[in-house]
Amino acid sequence: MKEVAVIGVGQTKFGKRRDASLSELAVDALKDALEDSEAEKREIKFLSVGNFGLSSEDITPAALVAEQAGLQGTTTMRCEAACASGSAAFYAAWLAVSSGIFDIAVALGVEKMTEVETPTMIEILGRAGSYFWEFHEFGVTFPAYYALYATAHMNKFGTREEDLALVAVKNHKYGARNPLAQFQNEITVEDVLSSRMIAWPLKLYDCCPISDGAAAVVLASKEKVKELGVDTPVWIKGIGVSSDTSTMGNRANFIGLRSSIEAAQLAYKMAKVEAKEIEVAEVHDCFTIAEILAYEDLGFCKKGEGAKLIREGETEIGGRIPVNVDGGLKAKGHPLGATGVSMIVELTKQLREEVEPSRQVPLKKYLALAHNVGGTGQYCYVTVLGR
Amino acid sequence: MGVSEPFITSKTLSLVYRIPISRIEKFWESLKEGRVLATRCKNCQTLRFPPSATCPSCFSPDVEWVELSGEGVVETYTKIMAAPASFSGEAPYTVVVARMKEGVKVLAWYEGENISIGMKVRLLAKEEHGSLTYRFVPWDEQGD
Ligand SMILES: [Zn+2]
Repeated sequence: MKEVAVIGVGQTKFGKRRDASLSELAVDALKDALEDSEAEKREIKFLSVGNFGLSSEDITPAALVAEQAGLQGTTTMRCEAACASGSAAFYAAWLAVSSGIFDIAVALGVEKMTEVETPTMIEILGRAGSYFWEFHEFGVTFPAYYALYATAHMNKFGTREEDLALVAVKNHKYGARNPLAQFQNEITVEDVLSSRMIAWPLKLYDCCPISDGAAAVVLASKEKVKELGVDTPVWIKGIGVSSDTSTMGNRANFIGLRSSIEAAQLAYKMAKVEAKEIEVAEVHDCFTIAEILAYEDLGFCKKGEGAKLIREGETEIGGRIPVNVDGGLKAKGHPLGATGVSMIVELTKQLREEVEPSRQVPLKKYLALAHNVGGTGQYCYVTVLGR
Repeated sequence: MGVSEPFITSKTLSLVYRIPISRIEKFWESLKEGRVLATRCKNCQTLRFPPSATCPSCFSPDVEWVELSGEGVVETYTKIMAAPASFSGEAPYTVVVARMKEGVKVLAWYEGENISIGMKVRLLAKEEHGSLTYRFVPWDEQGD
């Protein structure tokens, strides 16, 4: 297996992007990633496109994006793993290079969610589970799937609605410092608690927004990194992937995501690092409870102590493990297919010490972790990056 | 990036799927008779809900239908206030996951006042708006 590095990153601003189509956003991100790298466009022979789809007009976006980028002839495909579609594309590109088949690959994630009406988008997201047994019969929405976990976690560990709110407050605080984030405003615990109930105990401000956006990364083999003379390659030290039942009723418990726990263990093992060595993390906070679960499932704290971690400020800059200091899905936005790739973009910049100074994490070991969940843990991808 | 950006409206795509149920048709026939069924593999004994005509554990097609007693304990729940378009007008509704006495878990709506984790609930087959479904109710309710 070849060693693989991230050598270029690019991302559009996330938010309501009514100024650009899916392929236009994709090409914006791809162009930035290529310019950020030492690679030439003609060297790109592999392009994976992470996209959940249905909410925009093109249902076969990979070839379209390749055409708009002048990359026809490349090996390309769409990768889908619900909200982890971007990570699926990243994984495909990593496989392409680590296998030795390609020496350069591009992973691109893109989603346009605001071209359809909001109720239609909610309908589409609610179907991202077991359609027949849970949506068709019982109209279970996406927030409701995570609410099932929030209820069980609160009941077992005494996690409070105020603790969930703290996640939103923290992520808005950092979103306000990230020019690419959808939300640029800080909020208070009171704002969260007084927002409209969506699926008890989750309120509107516990939920990530509906977003448009794209992100892209260029990957290269160790040989290619040398050949190109890359200054600060960011190495993919470990990747772990796991999955769980599509049907919520068939989950072993509702206090953690099995796929997160397993994917993290695989990634740590491959990277030969421990959770406590990670210095900055991007975790999947589609809903505030998801970030609390992630702290525990990734081993940043013991099971049941996630609320304590956020309460004590340990996941802020200056704390034990800063999490989502780009705003997370909650404030940066969550264009489904773009999210997993965007996490790699952010962590690459953190490891190169290139983000806005007000949200740069101080580093010693230069180890970062990305955690991207598809659905409600139907899929999970964990990546450990390092210098 | 304002809201007044120019755009073109796409052609309409209407998507309605015909979902085959031939292999598990007995599930609905039994709902009509007031029974909620699961499947059990005759080869490896795996009990399965939602029912499956092929055992997910050993792939055996030799499965038998087993009636669930209806006795469950609430494992988690949520109350949905913001419904998707196809359930507009139905909200709020409470969704429960309960572990049944037989070991399988079932997700369904709960029709009752109070709900809490660990509470005993009853699973009932039901006909509603002319279609067959199943619901949880408080344990001391016998249903229609
Ligand atoms: Zn079997």
